[in-house]
Amino acid sequence: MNNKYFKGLTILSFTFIILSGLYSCQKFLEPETPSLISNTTVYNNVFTAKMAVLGVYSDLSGDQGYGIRVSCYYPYDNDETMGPAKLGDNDRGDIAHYNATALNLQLYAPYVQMFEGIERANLCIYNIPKMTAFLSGNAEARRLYGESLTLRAQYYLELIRNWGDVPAQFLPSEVSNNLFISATNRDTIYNHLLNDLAIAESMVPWKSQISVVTGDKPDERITQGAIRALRARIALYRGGYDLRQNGSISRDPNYKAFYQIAWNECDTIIKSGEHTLNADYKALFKNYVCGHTLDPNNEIIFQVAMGGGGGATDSKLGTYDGPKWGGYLPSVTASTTLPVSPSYLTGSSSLLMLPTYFYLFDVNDVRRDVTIAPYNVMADYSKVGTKITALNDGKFRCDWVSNPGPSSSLYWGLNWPLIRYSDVLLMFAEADNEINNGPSTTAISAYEKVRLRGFGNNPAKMAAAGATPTDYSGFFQALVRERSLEFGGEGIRKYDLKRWGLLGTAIFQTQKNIASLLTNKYMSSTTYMAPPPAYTMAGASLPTSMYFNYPGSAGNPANQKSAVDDSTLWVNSFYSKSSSSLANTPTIALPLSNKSSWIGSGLTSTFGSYFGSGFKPNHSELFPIPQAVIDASGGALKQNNGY
Amino acid sequence: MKKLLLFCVSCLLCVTILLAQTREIKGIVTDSKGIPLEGASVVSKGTGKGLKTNAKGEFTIHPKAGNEPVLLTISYVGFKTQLIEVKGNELLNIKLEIAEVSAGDEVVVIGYQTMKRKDIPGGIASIGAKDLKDVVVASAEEAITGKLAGVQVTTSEGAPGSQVQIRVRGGGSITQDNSPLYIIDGIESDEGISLIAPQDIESIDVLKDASATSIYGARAANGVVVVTTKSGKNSKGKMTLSYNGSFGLNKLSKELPVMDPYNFVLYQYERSKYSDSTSTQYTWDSVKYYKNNVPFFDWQKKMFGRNALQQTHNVSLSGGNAQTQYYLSVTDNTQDGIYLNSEYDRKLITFKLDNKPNDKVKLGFNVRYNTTTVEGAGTTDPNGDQSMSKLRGIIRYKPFIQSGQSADAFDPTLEAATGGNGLILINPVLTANQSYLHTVTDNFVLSGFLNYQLTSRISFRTTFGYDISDVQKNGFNDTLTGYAIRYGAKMPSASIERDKKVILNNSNVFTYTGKSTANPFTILLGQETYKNVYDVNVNQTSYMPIGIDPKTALANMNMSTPPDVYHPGFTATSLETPTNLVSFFTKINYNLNRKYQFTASYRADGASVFAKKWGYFSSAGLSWLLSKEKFMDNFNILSDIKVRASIGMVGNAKIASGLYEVNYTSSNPASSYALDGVLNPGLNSANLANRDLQWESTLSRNLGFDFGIFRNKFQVSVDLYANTTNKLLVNVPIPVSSGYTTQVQNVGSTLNKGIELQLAGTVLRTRDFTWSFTYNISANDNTIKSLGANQNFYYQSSNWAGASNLPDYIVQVGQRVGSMYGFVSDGFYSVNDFTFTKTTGSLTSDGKQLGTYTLRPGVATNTSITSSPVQPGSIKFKDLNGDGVVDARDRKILGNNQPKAFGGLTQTFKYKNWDASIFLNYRIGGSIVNDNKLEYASGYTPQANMLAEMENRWKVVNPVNGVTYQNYSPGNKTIVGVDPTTLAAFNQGASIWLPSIGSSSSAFTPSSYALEDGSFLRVNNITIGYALPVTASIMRKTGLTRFRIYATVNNVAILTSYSGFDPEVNTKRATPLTPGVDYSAYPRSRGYVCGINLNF
Repeated sequence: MNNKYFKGLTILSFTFIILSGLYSCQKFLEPETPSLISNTTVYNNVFTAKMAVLGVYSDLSGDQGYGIRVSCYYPYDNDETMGPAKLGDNDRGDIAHYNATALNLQLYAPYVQMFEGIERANLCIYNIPKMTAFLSGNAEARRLYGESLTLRAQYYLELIRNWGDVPAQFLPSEVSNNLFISATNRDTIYNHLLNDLAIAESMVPWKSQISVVTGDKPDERITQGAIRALRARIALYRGGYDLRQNGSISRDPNYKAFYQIAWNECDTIIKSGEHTLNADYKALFKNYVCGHTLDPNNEIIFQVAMGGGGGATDSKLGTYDGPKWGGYLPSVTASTTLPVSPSYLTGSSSLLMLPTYFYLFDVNDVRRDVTIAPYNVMADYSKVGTKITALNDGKFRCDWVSNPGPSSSLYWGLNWPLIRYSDVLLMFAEADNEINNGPSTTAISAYEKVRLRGFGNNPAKMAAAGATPTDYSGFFQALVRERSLEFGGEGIRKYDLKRWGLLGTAIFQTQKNIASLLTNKYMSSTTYMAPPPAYTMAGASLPTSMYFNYPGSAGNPANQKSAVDDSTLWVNSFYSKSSSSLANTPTIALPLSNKSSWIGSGLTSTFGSYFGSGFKPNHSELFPIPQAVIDASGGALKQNNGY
Repeated sequence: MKKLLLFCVSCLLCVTILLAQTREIKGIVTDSKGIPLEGASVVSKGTGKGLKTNAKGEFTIHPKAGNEPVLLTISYVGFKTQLIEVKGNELLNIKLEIAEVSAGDEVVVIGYQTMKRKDIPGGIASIGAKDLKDVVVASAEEAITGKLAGVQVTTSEGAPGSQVQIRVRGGGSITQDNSPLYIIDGIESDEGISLIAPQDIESIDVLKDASATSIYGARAANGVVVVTTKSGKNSKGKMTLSYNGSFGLNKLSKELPVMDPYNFVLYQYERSKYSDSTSTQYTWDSVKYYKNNVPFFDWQKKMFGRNALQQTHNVSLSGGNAQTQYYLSVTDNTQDGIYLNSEYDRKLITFKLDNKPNDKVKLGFNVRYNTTTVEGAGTTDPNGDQSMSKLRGIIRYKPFIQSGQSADAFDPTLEAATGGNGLILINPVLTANQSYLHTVTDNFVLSGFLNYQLTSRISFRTTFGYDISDVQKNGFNDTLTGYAIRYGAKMPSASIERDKKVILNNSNVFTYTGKSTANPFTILLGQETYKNVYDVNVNQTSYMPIGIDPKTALANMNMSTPPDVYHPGFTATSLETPTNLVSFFTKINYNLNRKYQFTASYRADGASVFAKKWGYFSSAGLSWLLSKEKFMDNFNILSDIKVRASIGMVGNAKIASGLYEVNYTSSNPASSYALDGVLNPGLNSANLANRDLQWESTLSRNLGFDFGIFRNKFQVSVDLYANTTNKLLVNVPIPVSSGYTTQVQNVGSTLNKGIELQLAGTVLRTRDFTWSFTYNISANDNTIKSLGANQNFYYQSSNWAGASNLPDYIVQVGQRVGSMYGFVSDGFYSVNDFTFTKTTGSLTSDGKQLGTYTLRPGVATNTSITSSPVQPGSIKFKDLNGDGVVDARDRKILGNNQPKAFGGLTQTFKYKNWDASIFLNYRIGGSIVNDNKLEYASGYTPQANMLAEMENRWKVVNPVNGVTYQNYSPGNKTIVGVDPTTLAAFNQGASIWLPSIGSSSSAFTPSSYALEDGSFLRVNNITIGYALPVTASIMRKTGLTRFRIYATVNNVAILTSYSGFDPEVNTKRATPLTPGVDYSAYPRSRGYVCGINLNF
């Protein structure tokens, strides 16, 4: 072969190889990455789009969401409940007692997670309307869009009610021009959310109109009822009081317009008949929330689904709060006392229900024994009563957890109810009272529906506890009390008090009232709320000791191994003789080990040291913005008042 | 090596030729002074016949009859080789001159071509087979530790096969991988040099500056390590067989002193008296009992104390003829870890074939297979959390065994008592027996090249590499492991993780060589593609039946019995990420009059990981052989003076794929939602897309001087450099309102500057004795110049104690990379910091006056940091801003891991047949954060042992009578104690505070207490060898040409003030921003090895 010819050919062919290499270069540099899924793929069909929306829901759950931080750390202290008996821990104790600083360890991650939820929602809100399915009116695509709008509103609401003005971004970060944004006025954000939710209502069907996909429970995904209820709630916050950037607490002068929105939304929900009150208040928590089953009345309009047994998606409800659990009773003799909080029990029991809250309930109010669990639980489910200074919250309690039951893990898969139908009724009543400067009959009826259920649907008992006030302020004060009785331990109270501008008042008056109760053995009336039952007030002599039945109870074989989870655990009455058929002291002799210290001296120290101890008006209503958030904002964010 | 081979071959040949002789050439070889040289090699060229001189320096050779001239090559190590033409039968008297060997004459392979070192204008550090030959090392990384100027090799911890970090000139990037680029026989390798047996290495060249590295453009920003493996030689068909074997044992070299049983129990008793909320199982009577009656049980000795055996066998075969050369090597290396149940087993096989079918074509082919099996999980995990640390379970376990119990007895009460703060102490032997981790790494590399001489001037070379690495980790955690207790409902769990990486690499290069031999000129034009597909599959099964054994569990991954439907038994994750690179490059070398050497290169790289895919990198270098100038003729103080200057750009692309566009992943459980209790996978965008993502680039400037002194007796190399890395790929914090906390951006810059000095030479050389050395010292300073427009600093946590602990590092403009951050430790609060109020009538049982202590106004409190009330003896931090409160604003930069200087000294001695070497390496300066100390000196969990240092603590209980002198009542928030005079006198000798009993996160507060000077001088290795004189008769009978035995001690001694196991440590390697953390590192051992080298 001609050598020159061959050389030329070789060079030519190599050049060709290189050139063809160049040609395919750009393709080679954009390889397919199967583990990363593009926008186009995700929003190509409703199934993958639903997965993106589940990703938005995901940020509600877990340790940094409603799994514990947002549900159990942030809403305390209030006039019902005190957070963990710790101070100076730079952790949850400081948060609860209004002593948090910008470097508190438990503020940053939830703040981040809620904004993560907003960004995830922003991506869905930006992309779903471009889906072919959405444009052609596909019901599922429209529902997903509405859900995303609603979830974004929920995250913003939670941020605002804890931190006040926050930077608001309604577009995905990827298409935003500037990420270094300063805080937006909360009214502006609320207005935006109210508009969003009005759109969402038109996209998402009512509970009964949804053909349930296997595995989706109608109370764990957002339905139209949930959107309307959330819109009503946001409207009330928008029209309510708040600590403003100028350091004062005020409300929009045009607040009634927002109460009207709330009224309309609640009215629509009530008239829809989609959600009703469950006749059995106890069943709501025992059978449905703790029993992991669906409430047939759909009173729980929306709750955050928890599960998976880990910090990312589950909740510590029932292990962080509620009665302690596990272990076996030591053998006791008649002369020994049981340890109040035995070390063989597990559970943090970190939320303490206030004795003043215990006595706010009427003797016939069934909600007391649901909201408050004054006992700890042995492995065999027998109960040991607690002191009055160690009352556990009861809505998420270990001895009710079933299907499956409690495990040694810290995560029990208990859902966090975000909105219930009774809230809709009471919001309706409140809005109505505000708009009309006094309650209409429908408002009174809504209020009484809730109250009547609280009295076990016994009208006589309800009547005995006092008539419903019909004047503006009387009805308002009754609502302030009723909302407390209805929603104790559900993370609502602190924010209610804030929007009424009453948080400081409530904290200070409760501090006094606790002291009064524990030293004088009676309650005092507060200025901001309808009074507690008359038989707990001046002149009453509440018991200094309570006796309970438990396996070691000598002389009372009938009550051995008490499995009761209500007041029948107790042998004597919580009240004076006049208000109850039960005697104030037990008729039979019980050993010391069956005795809990109740009202009396020497019990004030825990509350005195901790409860609301760091509260400063016009400051403590909002949390400090986490320092790391300010550091990362490039100077765009300013710290809240006084931090 | 070449000489040795020649010698071997010639020896073998002469055996056969001794038979029929007619002609004889006799001679004597001496040095210039006439002293005979024994063992000099005499080879008759053309025939290949050769032999060695005897003790008198004599030799006799029998060439073919006739008067045909015979060309003899006479060589001897350290002397200039002589060529003599012999015509008749003469008696020769050959005097050899001492060679002034210049390192510059060695040939190195860089940038797609081979070059002589003296022709390279850039900074390069090399190590050759000669340096590797007699040193016993288990890995290639060990072989270069401390040997190369500017190359810092840090073994992360003491476990066999543990990760080794190689940093060339400090590494420029601050968040990306700072590993150098590895080129093995012309092929990019991701595994680095760890997968090559040290015995198979011909040479390692580390390219340090841009003029040398920029031809590699992409990813060369952190230097390039070029490895050339051994090849067969043209031995005229004769095969060389060699065997290297060694056997040794490793022993724990240091223990951390911990409290003995009495002090342990005494502290537990005392701890319960701090505050009235804690309880203990020890009464004062039992404390007294423990004083003399309970023997100390040394858990460290139990866990790390064994004689860990190691052995290595390496057999290689090589040979070839003019057309074909081959090299085959098999290595088997097994090593037990000193930690119970840990084991390392590596088998390597490599085969290399080179062929030259004709003058135009040259082909090469190389197969390398490596399988490494590691048993045991070690003690730490660079990315894992504290709760899984095994070391803490060993240090903190109670220092005695209850009578009648075995050393592996399970103590459920201890488990329960220590669970409160997440410590959970389980018997360490049991833990080691209960966790099973079996890691098998298979690596298969196939590479080849074809060199075609197109014309006399143009050649073409194509290189192809295919590299599969497959890691399978089979893990099993039984019921009593931390994992099972924390996450697995005390049921066994198993996991199978498989990481597979496939790399394809191809380069095609045309080289044109200029006509002139006086002024050599080459130009190179080439193209390269690189494709890396990374594939991960993880299958995890929880809630396995109790009692199942690891092998059964791992073979039956479906045997999960979850307690309920809400706890999923299985999880599976998979990930596939490709990274592709395309490059085009050109390079010119021009040498003017052999005096001025000029190099320039230009390269365009496209990387799939970037939005702006293409990066363009160029470089230029100049070197000037000053000695060759006329005006230097009379300058004899220095010889071979060379000045090198270079400047150039290189890039870095080591980031994750897909960061420049919106991408969703199904990250379970981070994006899952538990509908009806069952986790439904969701999708989320995990990273904020950065549409501007582009190449990080480093501008590197280098100025170097090479020269010899004392007539080239010593060679000196000095390099000065300044590297500026711009458009740093930094995972910067961004506003939280974006929904993300960080984004990878090209922001900021760092400046890396330094100086390196390398010194080598022969101190002494006589006929029998040679003493030579190499020494290097490097200093490097890496400073952050900018972090972009919006950032001046951000915190970085090493995460050794979990996310809620305060960050312990800071990244700040104007500061060095790896700045350690925290509080300044200021001893402890004294009684003078408090006012004492006497409580009338209140006395201790031994009659001391009691009262309350209140902090004096003006004395700063730190309760918000320690979560504990301040009392006399509490740990004290400095109130730096003087606002009267110690809080997070009172932190500062405490230190830095960057050493002032580091380097090594190797000395080699040869006396007759004896050889010895001693290798020292050192580091001056550079702090280590001893986080072991932070944890092991805190009392945050009851029933956990502490370091012996805490025996000298501030005490609150009188150890003589057990009376409490000070305590805190949380109920009424008061500190009650005996009067200040008594309390102070009682604690007069206290040198350290009352251990913190706050929460775990506050007990581990980063402070200057944890920082220690990391300076050290290590006697790294001492070796003594003896080469048996191989006489002709032995050679004839056995075929043996070399027989050497040796003994080595590794990690002989270390001189350091560091209190931990070893200052050469780096356990939190997930980011380069947190260097120098010592937490739960596997302790280093001392090794005793003896071995044998045989050549046939």
